[in-house]
Amino acid sequence: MRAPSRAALDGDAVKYRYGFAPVGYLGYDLTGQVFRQILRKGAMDSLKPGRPCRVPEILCVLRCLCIGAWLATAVVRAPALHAQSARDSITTHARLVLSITEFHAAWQRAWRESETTRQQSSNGAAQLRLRTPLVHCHPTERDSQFIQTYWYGSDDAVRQKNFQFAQIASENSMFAACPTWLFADPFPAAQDERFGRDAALLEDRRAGMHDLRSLLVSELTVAASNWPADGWITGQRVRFQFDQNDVAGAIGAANSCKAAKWWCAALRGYAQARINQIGEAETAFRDMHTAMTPAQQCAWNDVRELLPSVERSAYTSMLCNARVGATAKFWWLSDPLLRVPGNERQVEHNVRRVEIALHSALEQDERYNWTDRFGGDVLTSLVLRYGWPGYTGWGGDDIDADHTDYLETRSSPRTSPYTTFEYSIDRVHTLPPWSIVASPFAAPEISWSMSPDDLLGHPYTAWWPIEHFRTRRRLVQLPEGQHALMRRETGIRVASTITLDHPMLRTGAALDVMMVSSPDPSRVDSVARRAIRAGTIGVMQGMIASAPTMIAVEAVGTGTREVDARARFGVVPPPTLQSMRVGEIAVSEPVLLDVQNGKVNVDAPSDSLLDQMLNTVHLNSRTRRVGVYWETYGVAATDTVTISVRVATDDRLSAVRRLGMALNLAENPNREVVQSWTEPDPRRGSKTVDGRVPVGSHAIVLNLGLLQPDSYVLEVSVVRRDGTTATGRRRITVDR
Amino acid sequence: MIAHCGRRRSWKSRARKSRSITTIPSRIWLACWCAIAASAVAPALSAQDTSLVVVEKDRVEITMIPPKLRIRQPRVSQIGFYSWRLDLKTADELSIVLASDTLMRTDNIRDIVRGSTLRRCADGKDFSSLRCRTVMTDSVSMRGDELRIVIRDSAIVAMVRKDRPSTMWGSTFEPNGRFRVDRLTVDFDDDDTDGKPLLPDPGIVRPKNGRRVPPVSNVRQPKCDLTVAYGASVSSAPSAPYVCRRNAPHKAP
Repeated sequence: MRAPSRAALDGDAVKYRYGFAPVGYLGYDLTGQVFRQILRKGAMDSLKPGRPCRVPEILCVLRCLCIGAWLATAVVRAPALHAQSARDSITTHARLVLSITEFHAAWQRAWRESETTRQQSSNGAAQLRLRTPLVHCHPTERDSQFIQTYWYGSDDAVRQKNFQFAQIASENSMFAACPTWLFADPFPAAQDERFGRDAALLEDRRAGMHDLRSLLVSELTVAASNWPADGWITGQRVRFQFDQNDVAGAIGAANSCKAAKWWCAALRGYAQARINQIGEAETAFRDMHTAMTPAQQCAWNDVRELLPSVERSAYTSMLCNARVGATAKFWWLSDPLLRVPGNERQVEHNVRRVEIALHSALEQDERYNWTDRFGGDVLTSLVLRYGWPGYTGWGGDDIDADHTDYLETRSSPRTSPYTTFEYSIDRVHTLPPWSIVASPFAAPEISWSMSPDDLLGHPYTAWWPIEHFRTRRRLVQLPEGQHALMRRETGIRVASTITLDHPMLRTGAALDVMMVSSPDPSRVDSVARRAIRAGTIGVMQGMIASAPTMIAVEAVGTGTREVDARARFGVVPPPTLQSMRVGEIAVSEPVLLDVQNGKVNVDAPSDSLLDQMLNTVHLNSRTRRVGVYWETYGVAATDTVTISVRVATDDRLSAVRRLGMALNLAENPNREVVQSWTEPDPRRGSKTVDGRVPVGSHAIVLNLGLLQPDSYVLEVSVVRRDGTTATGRRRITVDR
Repeated sequence: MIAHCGRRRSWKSRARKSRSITTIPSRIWLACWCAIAASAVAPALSAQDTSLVVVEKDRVEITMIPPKLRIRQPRVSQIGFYSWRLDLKTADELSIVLASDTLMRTDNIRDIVRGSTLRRCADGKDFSSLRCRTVMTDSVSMRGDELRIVIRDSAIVAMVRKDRPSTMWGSTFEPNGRFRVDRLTVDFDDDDTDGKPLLPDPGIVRPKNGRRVPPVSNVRQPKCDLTVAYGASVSSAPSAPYVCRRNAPHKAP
């Protein structure tokens, strides 16, 4: 054997000590692929031998001489000072790498045996057939098409279902991953891997792995005590202690980290998040961010993987500095519940980044190869978007061989074992579309599609988002409601009706409902709070400032029912009464009221009238008779005004249609219903509160039964005698 | 590569038909080149998926692929320990490792093997290969690109023959954390089968659905002899079609 010479080792020691070794060197850079790439492109380039000289010859020679002299000095000086310790460090790392790799292999053996046992169980063969299309994930298949497979229903009956063929393809090989919902419970049971890595193993194999891993952890602990500043060792120690369910040990290891400041903060955040201390985790990740260099921040905060391809180009075209503000807004809008301190989704993103760094510190983990040319970019993308799968079904040796054939005939390396990537159905997609990041206050409730659920509260199998995550408590989306903004002296009264209805919300269960407003990522204000029972309709009212803001109605299940619900939308409130000029008039947005007795009592205080708001702006056959309420501002009780209420479609007419209409050859497809009158009129039940700016309350009952199903604009106009006009509008939909 | 050689030869023969004097050396050169290329490629091809274990009367022969995964990618040598590990599920959980003695920085498989020692792990429970201390004197050699371990330790041979495990796990480890785990079929060459055709393991017969199965080389077979295959003495045996898998038809004529 060509044994490494002392000189060679010392040279390596110097390289290791001074960071000149090839980046990715034994995975010692520990920071995962992202930072490996940065170092490759950045610091390493300037020291690369053979870099072409583009400067005058003499300068080039001088530069080479300088670098050579510096390197020579380092080589000469370093062995005297650090050779011993550095060599020991290399040996320690090499031994640990082998130990970890051997543990990975042992774990894989136990896992393959577990999966083989599952396949040999009574319905194992049937389940394998269901999973086969997802194991054989071929990137040549068209993305986002549907595949037909089977779904085990809650009654154990098998139903044929269409699954969206979600796919993440590698840029470097033909390896791809087809993540999906967990569609068949493996038997004998495999627990969700979020409860621990060994959850994938059969119960009788867990004890053996636990014993083996405790030996590995001991080895890592000894190494960490000898090399306390080694971030790679600390990271692996934290990882394996969590895998061992040694939570206290893992947190202790993270807290005692003496490595790079940002990495220690990242490990602390990771550890806190694993024990559901979201607030503390967020603080730690904030520390991490502060300790990072701008380049590291840029790479770490890159969210392109979480964006659909059509939106990705807009993001990637932005420079790093420009991304900072947009990314902060993106995470703000992704927060599952604004009323709860800490952004669980952003913390989860950081946790996933750390998880990727820990698993890709070596080329392979227990099952997967993380290097790019083996399709590791797929795993990185998968974990960033969906987190660690709950269950990974293995196809067996035969399917491995088949898929390896597929890869190798396409010049891609084998990356067996090949598995499915299955996720529990209680996950939600809280990220907003990138388009609303630029204008969040114009975002309607439907901007978030957390999970379109079936009658049981399970997501439709045909729905597969660009990303999702599992909240600590089940989170569901409330149906679209109706919202109103009314001007008041110094603020704006906001009212929102919500229907607390979802299959996951047990009817009658108590919910603590809070309305909050958040004008920017750093501020959340409580607007209103009340207890409402699930299955009922509630109206939340409160005062907000006259500035664009996000409004969220968030219901938290009380007692043992750990289900939360939310609705969120952006508003751009009108100016307050205080800021209106003398003589200026305005009309509020018209509000649909639920007409109980066929009439509206305008004499009631306007706030209690708002309590009668209809819970939707989608009118069906039973709600075609509605009350319409609006407020006028600046119109005194004695002022003569003409008021018009108009319901009309606003379809844009093409030029050809307009020409046809002019020639009497075509009809105007837009329909409208208009009602006008002049006030003051004692027969009209209007009420005016005098003040510097008088506020008038008006209401009528409309029967929209004759309208064809379509989308309409409900418009209220007030025209004063001097010709001054004010208009308030709301879009409504007439359904069948 | 061989197809390329064939194309090149036919093209030359057509283009230089009239220049027979230059064609002959050219063909000789090409033949040599093809032979060299084929000899270089053959071990690599044959080394793929040819891990097998044969238990004979007095020894256990293990053939394993080298740790490098066979892909056409430039490789950089890594610093660290290389290791092969064999785990047999016998009553005493036998584990044997061939691990490098010191840190290595090479991508030459022969250098790695020369710098490694075969060791037995205590009760098969040693966590890391480097902790397995019992040095074994059995031979380790390279045949082409394959690693060949012959264990003649009578206690181990007796243990394996007694427990008769049908499979064993063979793992290879590289310094960068890459590893490969293979389930190796153990083939027992028993005394009472001497001179008789060896039936292949039922698990490796190619099924009708065309799924890939371990290569024929996984099965220990007698030499292919048509006279034996079709001869009167064996043709009546139900296993006759398997006697000479490479050449014989599936049904004897």
